[in-house]
Amino acid sequence: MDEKIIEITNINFDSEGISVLEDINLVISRGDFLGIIGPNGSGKTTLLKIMLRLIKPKSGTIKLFGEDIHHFRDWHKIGYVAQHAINFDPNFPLSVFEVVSMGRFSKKGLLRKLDKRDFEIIEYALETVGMKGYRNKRIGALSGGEKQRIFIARALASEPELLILDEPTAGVDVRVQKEFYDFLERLNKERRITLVLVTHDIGTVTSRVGKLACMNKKLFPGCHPAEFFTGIPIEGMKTIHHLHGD
Amino acid sequence: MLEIFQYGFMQRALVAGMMIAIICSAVGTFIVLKRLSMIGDGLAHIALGGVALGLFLNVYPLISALLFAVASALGISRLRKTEVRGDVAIAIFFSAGLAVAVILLSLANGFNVNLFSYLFGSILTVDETDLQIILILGILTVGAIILFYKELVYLTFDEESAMVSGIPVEKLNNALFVLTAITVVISIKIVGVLLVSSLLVVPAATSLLIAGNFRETILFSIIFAIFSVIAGLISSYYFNIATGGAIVFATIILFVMVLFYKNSKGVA
Repeated sequence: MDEKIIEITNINFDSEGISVLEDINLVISRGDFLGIIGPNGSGKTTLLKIMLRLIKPKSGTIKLFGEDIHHFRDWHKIGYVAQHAINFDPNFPLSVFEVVSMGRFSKKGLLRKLDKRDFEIIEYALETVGMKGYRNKRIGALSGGEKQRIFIARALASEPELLILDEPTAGVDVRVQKEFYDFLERLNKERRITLVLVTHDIGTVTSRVGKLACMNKKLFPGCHPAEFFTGIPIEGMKTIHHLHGD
Repeated sequence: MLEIFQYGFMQRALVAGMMIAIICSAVGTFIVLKRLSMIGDGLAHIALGGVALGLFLNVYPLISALLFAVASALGISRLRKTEVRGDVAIAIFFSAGLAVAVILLSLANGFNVNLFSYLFGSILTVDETDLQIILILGILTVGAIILFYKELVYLTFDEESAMVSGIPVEKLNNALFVLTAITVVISIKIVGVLLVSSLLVVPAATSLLIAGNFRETILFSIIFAIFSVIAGLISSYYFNIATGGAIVFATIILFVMVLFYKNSKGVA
């Protein structure tokens, strides 16, 4: 049987008395490439944050790599690129290299300096995202798409087994998006990195991921794009589809 | 080279000043980038409450100031995690510290020369005990920053990702607040309560105009701060002006010069 990387059971979450997530159940196995799609405000980001123990759920349990989230320690196995990662203070004084090196910190542990092997892994991560020549550039000086790649390089630098991406193509033009999905496909197939990608943009994602789940407070795993093109399970999806085209 | 550094008090002021320049600019870089520029000012006024209590009870003022400031730093850190916003949390502790100071000072029959030096800074008042405390706490602060440098950089830039990667963000934030409190208190003797936060903020802000990465930011910031402290001490001696004012005025001149330099080069 496939190794379960994430097991989410009966998760509920309220915000100020309003239900945000209802009875979420989800299993992600090693090697999966899962796309979670849903309109804005459908609870996608909240679900990710619960998976990363940034938010406490009202009820339910989460297992990461077979271990209860409260006892899970191997955070370096998980790479995470947040939704608004690229919207930082553009004057923040960090070089590309300094940002990507952060990906090594958790594996390294407190009080320990990065060594030659870490630097090699950082260089390799930069190479993987095609940004090798940018190591000494200031991160704020890069374009949106370039910043996005640097944050993915940072996530890759921890040598993750699971990569979680929240709206990674927001603010990236369509041509670059295609390359981006090609790139994710290679990570998934060649390096066997399990991928979870969350987006409200159902244009490209539906044809590129291995598995699809639709979300609107509740999660509908294995939903088929054709199902919600006809507007059955989730209201609001159709409008979004029209807005973004494909 | 300069005969003024033959005097014992000037030597002490110079050594203490260099140490203060280093920790203020290093801690200040993190504080400014975390958008907490006002915390130095808040902690300084809290420290003034501690100084007043020390003077009132006749105990060594820097110790009581240190206790006040460290306790408040942890309080601010805790309060900003509740519904109270960070700037409001600082304002509340700031008010409490200043209120205590004013009450105690009025009970002690008002202002005296001693207090004046704590408010505005003085090169004359750094004695051997002060110097020892400044050096010990200063070295501890520098050591802590070096040890936790990579984690502090990460959480300053991106607290959420730092947390996801397993870095103990809350503990390190508390540690940074405590380091800020220590830095503020040991800087009071030379720079004064009213201007200590300027030495935290201005050199870092100047450095941010031209630095290309984090290491450079801290390094330039330290250079600007040391230069300002030396220039300030010398002019304080020759023109008989309050040291804090002279030092901070030097930091401002540097800021303006760097700003002009940057604009003339047309760097974006």
